[in-house]
Amino acid sequence: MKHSPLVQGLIDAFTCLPGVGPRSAQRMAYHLLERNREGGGHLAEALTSAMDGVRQCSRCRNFAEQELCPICLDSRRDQSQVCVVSSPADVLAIEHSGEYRGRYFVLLGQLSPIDGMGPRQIGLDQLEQQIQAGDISEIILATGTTVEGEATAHYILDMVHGTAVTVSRIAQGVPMGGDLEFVDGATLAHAFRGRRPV
Amino acid sequence: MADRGSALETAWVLHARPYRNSSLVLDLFSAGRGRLGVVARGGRRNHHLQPFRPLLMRFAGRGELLNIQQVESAGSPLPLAGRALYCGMYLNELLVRLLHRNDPHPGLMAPYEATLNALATDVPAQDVLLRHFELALLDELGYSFSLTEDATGAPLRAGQTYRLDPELGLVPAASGWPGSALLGMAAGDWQDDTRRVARDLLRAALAPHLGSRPLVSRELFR
Repeated sequence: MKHSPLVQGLIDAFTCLPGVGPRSAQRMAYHLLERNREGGGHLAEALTSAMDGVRQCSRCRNFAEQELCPICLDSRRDQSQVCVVSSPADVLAIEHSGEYRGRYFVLLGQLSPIDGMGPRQIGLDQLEQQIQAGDISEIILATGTTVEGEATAHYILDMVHGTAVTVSRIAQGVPMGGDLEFVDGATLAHAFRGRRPV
Repeated sequence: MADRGSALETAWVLHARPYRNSSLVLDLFSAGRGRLGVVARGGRRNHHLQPFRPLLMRFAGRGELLNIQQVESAGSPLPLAGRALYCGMYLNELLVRLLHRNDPHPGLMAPYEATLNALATDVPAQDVLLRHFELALLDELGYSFSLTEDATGAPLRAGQTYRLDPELGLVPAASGWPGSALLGMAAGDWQDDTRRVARDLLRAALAPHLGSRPLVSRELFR
């Protein structure tokens, strides 16, 4: 059986979600049409307004609904201290820790040539402008410990070289409540190199 | 039975892409199979599945994407940092862009491993390592050209300039690559001039096979 054009259009549209193939898309479309028209209408409105209204903060690239995001607008935060992360989810995680009172720079990716992600694609030209403009006194690198995260961190380190900006990298090591036995060798080696007096 | 019988093979991760919640789709380079695509279920929890780490793997399945049955570390990760890491990423991008999947290149594993190992020791002449690898890659793909003889078989002359014809090799021309530098490359005499010429010559030699999309890893070298 073939779907009518509108139903088929809805199913095709759902497949743009990650992890959703034609079958789950069909299930979602049927569910909304059969049982939850109201929810469907709400979803459509929320999608439209979010797609129109959400943009990137012009300073940190995080999602924002105005020129600047709430964190960049917050005058109680240290706007010259910048934590570089790869995704908005990382911002959320660090905010939950309650430890940090500076602002962020969100790369929305990492240096990954094979994925077509070069320095410009992750906004490093923008970060470089902010460094050159003297807006930043300290950078905290919080990119991941993958190959891409390391390359990204090194590239930023190179960019900062020769400026007055101080750079640090968040510590890597043994997780809280973790047993040494289950920590992998590379992490343990890092933890040893980064040990500190108590 | 054919799948069961497959032995552990040396393989390197060229590229890893998240897939579903906890899995990875990997581009691998293996001695016996060349470049191949695999799905690693739950692979995001396995810290072994990273580039620049020698691995032993057993595969199952058929078709475009194989499954990983077993992964073992075959050594510690290579400590590539800074420019050496960029060089490693460049090698991987070259392999992903130039090798077809499931097209074995057993002759390329030794140069790949040797180049990565040398990069990990922090040698100053990283560009020379890349040039050697590019030459090995061109050779393996069947696009190599002589650095001692021109297209007609006559020996290269230091005072002559040459252009590179992708089909024929080096052809004497009124302007182009200086013979002295080409002979320097052939002799392994890497003066500054030679290194510059070698970089541009090999870039030109690789260009027709890379298509119109530029290599992104070149942007990392500032």
